[in-house]
Amino acid sequence: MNHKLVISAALTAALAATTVSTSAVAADKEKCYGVAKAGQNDCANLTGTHSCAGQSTEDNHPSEWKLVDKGTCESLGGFSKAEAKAQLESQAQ
Amino acid sequence: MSETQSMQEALVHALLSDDSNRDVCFDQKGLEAYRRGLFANARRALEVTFPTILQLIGFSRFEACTTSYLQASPPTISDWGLWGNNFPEHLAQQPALAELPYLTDCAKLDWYCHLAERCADQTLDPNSLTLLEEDPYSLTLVPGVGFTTLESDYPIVEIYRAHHEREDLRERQLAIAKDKLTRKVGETALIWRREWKAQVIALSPAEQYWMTLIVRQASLGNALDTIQASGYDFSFVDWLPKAIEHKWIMGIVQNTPKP
Amino acid sequence: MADPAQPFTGAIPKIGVGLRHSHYADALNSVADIDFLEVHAENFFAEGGAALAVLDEISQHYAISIHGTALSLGSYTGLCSQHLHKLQKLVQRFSPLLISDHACFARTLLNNQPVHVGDLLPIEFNERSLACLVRNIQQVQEILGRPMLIENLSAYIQLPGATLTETEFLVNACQQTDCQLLLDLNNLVVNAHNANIKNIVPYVIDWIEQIPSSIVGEFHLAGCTPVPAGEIMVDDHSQPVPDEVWQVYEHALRRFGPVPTLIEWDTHLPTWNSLLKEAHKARDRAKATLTVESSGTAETTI
Repeated sequence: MNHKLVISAALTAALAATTVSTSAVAADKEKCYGVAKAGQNDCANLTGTHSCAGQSTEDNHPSEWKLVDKGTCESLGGFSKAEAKAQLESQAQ
Repeated sequence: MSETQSMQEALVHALLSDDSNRDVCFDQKGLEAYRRGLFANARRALEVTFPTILQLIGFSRFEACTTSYLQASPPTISDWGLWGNNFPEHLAQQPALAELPYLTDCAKLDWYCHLAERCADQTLDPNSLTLLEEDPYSLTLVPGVGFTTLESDYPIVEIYRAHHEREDLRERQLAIAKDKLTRKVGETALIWRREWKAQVIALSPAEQYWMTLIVRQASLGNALDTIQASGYDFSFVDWLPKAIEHKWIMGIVQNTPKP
Repeated sequence: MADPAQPFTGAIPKIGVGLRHSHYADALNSVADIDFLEVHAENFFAEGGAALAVLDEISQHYAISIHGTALSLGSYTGLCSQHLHKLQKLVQRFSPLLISDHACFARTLLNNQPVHVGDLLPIEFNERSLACLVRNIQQVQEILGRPMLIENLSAYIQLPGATLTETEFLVNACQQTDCQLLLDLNNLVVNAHNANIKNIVPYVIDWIEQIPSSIVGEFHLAGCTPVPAGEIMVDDHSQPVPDEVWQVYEHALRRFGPVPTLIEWDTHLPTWNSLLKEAHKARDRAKATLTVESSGTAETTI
């Protein structure tokens, strides 16, 4: 099948897009330290007490969200045990 | 087996096993200190890798899951950041989470996002676009960093957004997710990295069909043939500029023709 | 006094702090008055991404020390080739001032499957495990093409089967491999507490006296959550350096000279400025300790 026409139209559109996206790169680059995740490897022994519960997560998302112990799944509603089971079975098939 | 080897095995076994099977040759208080540290490390590592799951099920249930996961599938390599490959399946086996069947797919989405953020850096090669003048059956689109799709029976993209958007938008987003969950709307997620951060969007069936062809590295000619034959309404002309802007593709390569 | 202070007069050690995630922006927004930053090797083992980009930027403004947490140098099953390869890549990319890891193990086989528990587990102080540690250090140094440092642990259990003291064990390991000792002074204080030693500072100083001055290449200073006597003190790097560790540090400076010194802080992190202040305290202590020695020496020569 010949796709020449489609591809050459796409190329024209793409070349216009490239100039836009390359100019945006420099601005994006500066933010790496805002995006980097908390380190997962440590040589301190964690005491494992709840005093540091969620610590790295807060560290990872500064001031973005507070840890709710019951979890947001409560507000998602969703499934009863029977429904969930039926759903899982239908997936298995 | 050497005594050093058996000592090291015995210690690791004692750290991972439950009380009843614990080896008695180590000081119990000291062993407990190591165990607490080990389980805390495991939880902390998985909090970073599976942030959506932590928020969905809350700290206590998350901690219980990470502890049982550590015992069932301890890491085999040194980087805690690469541990968690089968944590999604582990969640599916937890009776306490049986009413949340969408968790496994949400966890898979977290995992793909995490991996995308660790992938090798790549920059768009704009010059390679001129290859589009060549025979399309010899060309392949280079997928973006961490580019992959995930199909689910649940609204995984809406659930993800409800936990990663700005705080003031989350309440509303949670309501949208709830509505789709109640109506049993499934979603296919596209995951890729733009600059440093993993991106997640929901795909239409036509986009999903096309993106899957890209993931599989079909030649451009074959991909266009296939999507045309599928009957999906898809425009390559509209798609290509978007793909470049969003970094879904990083360029084009020409495969050397077979002799 | 075990060693004359003469060789060290006037020189001030390089002082560094551990760079942790929540301080990335601070460290990059303005260049701090600090001689080096230490990062944990495995946190930069990804193929690419933001963390490595941060380290690229950091390395343009600061000297870097790469501190491993998971090589598992004491593993009887040997080292993980994948880990070695990643460490080698990191070292080639950043040419660090120092490279270190711990004299411990974390990796073993369970039911013939490799398991890595990502912790710093103690190794037996005997000839067998010394041979194993030596073999592994030699392998790392061959691959990296340069010497490394090994750190003494804080250990919460004593393994049976010791035929050497801890100091004999570490000194032998360093001498047989030409690696250096990263002397963690807080770990010595933690171990002394956990061994129910009454007078911790003299006990630790006595320990230090067993180490020849030529093999120490770095100090780590830290503080951890205090616990009542009889409870296990856990080395959580969560506090300012306590007075006991400062006292031991002064002694160590007199014995080992102006050795690069790092403030380690990992949990309950303070602000970047408070962390730097802690490092400046170390610099002041070192200056005072080594200058007193130098003026003392000057007086005797007049």
